[in-house]
Amino acid sequence: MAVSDSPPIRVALFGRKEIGIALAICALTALLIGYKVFALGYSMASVQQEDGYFVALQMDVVGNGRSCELKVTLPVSSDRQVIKHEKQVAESFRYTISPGRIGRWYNQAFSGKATLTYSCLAQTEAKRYPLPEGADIPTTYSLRLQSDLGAEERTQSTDPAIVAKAMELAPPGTQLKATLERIFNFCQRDLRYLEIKGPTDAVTALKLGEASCNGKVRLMVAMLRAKGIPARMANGLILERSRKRTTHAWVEAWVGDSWVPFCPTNDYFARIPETYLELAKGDVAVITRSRNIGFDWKWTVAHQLTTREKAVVANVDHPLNILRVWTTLKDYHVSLDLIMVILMIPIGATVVSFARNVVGVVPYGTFMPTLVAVSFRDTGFLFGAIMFTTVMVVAVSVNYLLMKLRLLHIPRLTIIITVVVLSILGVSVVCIKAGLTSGAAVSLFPMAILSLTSERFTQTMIMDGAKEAVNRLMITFMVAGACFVAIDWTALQMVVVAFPEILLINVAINLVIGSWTGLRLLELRRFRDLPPETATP
Amino acid sequence: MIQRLFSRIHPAVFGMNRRNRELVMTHNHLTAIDLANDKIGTKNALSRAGVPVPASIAEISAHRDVRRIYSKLLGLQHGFVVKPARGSQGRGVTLFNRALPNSVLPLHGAPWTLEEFVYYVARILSGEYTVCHPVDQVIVEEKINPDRHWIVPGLPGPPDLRIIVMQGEPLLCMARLPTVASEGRANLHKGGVGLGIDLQTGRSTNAIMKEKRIAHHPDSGEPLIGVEVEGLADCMRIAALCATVIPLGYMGVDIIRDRDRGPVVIEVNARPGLAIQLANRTGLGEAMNRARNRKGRHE
Repeated sequence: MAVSDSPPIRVALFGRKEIGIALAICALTALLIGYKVFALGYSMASVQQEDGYFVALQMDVVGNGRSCELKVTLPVSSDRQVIKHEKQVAESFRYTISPGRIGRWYNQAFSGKATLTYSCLAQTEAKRYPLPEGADIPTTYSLRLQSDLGAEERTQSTDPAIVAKAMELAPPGTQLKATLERIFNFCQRDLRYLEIKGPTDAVTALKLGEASCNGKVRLMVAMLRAKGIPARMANGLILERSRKRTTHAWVEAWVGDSWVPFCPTNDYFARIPETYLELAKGDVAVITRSRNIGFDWKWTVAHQLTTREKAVVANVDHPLNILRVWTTLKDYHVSLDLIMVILMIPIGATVVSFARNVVGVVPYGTFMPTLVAVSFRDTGFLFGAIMFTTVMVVAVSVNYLLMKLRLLHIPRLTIIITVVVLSILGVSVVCIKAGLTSGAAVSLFPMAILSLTSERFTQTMIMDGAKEAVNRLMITFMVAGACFVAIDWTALQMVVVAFPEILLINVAINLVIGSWTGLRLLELRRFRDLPPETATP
Repeated sequence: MIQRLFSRIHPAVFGMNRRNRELVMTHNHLTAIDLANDKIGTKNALSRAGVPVPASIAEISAHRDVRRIYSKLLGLQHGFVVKPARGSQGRGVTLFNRALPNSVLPLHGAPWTLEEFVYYVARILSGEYTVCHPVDQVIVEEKINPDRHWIVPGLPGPPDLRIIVMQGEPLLCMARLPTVASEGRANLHKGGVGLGIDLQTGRSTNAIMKEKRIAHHPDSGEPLIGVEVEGLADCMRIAALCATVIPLGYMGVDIIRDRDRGPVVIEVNARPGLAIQLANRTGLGEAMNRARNRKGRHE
């Protein structure tokens, strides 16, 4: 019997051609990047940690040919606030800053329109101030505090009604801390808050029994002064994402040897929250201006562009980066962040390709996990997971009911999309009401993807049972998690934004994965009991 | 450890990656795959070539045809099967005993109302059971009279035979036996039993259920090893004939034995699963090796 000497089956785990092309692509990419970095001196901007609020004052001025002056009390760095990266736009004005931190824009003959701005990065902290226990109100103060003890036009600390009220709240002999507490409590609690435009003086506030923040503050300052405690008004901004014209006022009282803040409007006793930015001390206007001009202004407060976004911009805004074309489109407002997300999608897809062809798990849909992960970028992983689960439960139940109604496929999917949209909004509203601000970020949550996932889930549930359906949902979720880690990895994002050509490597990786014919990890387990190849006879 | 791991990635066993790349994508042309996926086209081609297939009753391509075709079903005495033309893994297939004017009696379970039946057909038509086709067609064919005792007696449903044909030659064979757990279906992933059949001896060599080795049928306790498959040679000849009609270099042919007609091809698969390797305790690579050696010996 002739034994054939046919060769044993070739063991080639990867395609030779594919590996060759992949290596060539990698070499090309390395060459491109190397050329940019070494020959052209391109360097990558990385992410620097810098948190804070971006505060901007924009003033629109219309002049009539006469001299024009604008003064703004600028924020000062202190032990609880740091002012950085100050910028201003002066146009035809001369801009100076006085030693007392007054910014001054001046033009001796201004006509036409101008937009003047001041902006800075404010890093603030909340701070609590200890008050001395058992201390009496001091009887003498240094000379420089005298002006914070006397009466002013709108802070009538010598008015009989105010003195009488102050004495009623804190009779002579009351200690310092108790005096502060009682006067604060009166202004905070007993004096009702009323939104009034314009200033209210102390006497009016007391007479009306209600006042806005500046009225409360003037009354409290007046009563403290009446009790012989140096006090003054503090003006500033509340740092929350907004555009506004109004500033906020609170009280500072001299306790021990420092100024201690009190806010009777928002109930901060001897403490100041992180969101207060101090601008001016004393009963002064933050902005003053020449009378004879047209004038409008607004404060803009925003969370500082996350540093990631800044780094993206820095990386893109380079003559060697092809993505720069988008930054030249000033009027189109293309979000670079969106472009970055788009660039990361192929990388998320590679995660799926690895999960399916190397690990051997099968999530719902082809790139559904990638798209789910992209949506998690907007919401954050935790909130995204809550959203995902809730919406799935709702959508699957509705789908199940609609199947019972014998609705046809596409109309049924349309109803599910509608239900998905409604439940996304519902979850979002509940989260915002509950104080979870991340719940607001629903804009990009891909509703179609969720609807399709719920459809696949229902189908799997009907055909292969609930256990299999839940299993695959978990797998989808896990792969989505892995995608999320990849596309949310800051360092990788920066590399991709700085060198978009790196996506060629993504092609190379998939050439390798796509030509790999070895057993997937789960198949190793599945076939573990098979005997090894028997020797050919 | 690494040595052990690599000894497992031996060339004898094919994983999905290798099956898709070296078998499906190498030997199966897309048009042939498309033909195999379309049960109507496949059936017409097979039947023209003389391969025994279940007799067609009707094909439904539009919702409006459902009620007209239903009148055809009313007269049937021996039952009928409704299938999506482009379904896979037996999804969406339902066996019915009789159609009555206002209800339909399925083989398993409670009677369906006529509305339920129409909705079911509509779901198939709107592509619910297909993978990437937006619309589908429905095949209604005669329920064959399957021989339940073909391979092992006392089964809760009809068994079938899956034969892998490589470039025209039967390569591996597996009998699939229903269990109570698989609800009378011969699907392995539903809990059916897979018997590895030696094509030379025609006898079973190994049995698996849920990918675990077993020796006896879980319901009847019948022994599963060394069982002879009656008429295997016929089945192999039919399988090889299928490969000449459907030009797939790597295919799975599913055969049921009708009590009157003998072996009947119920489906042709362009991407047959890998569990057949477990049932036979033989990798596809190893089977190919052996086949080549046999061929060499005959020459």
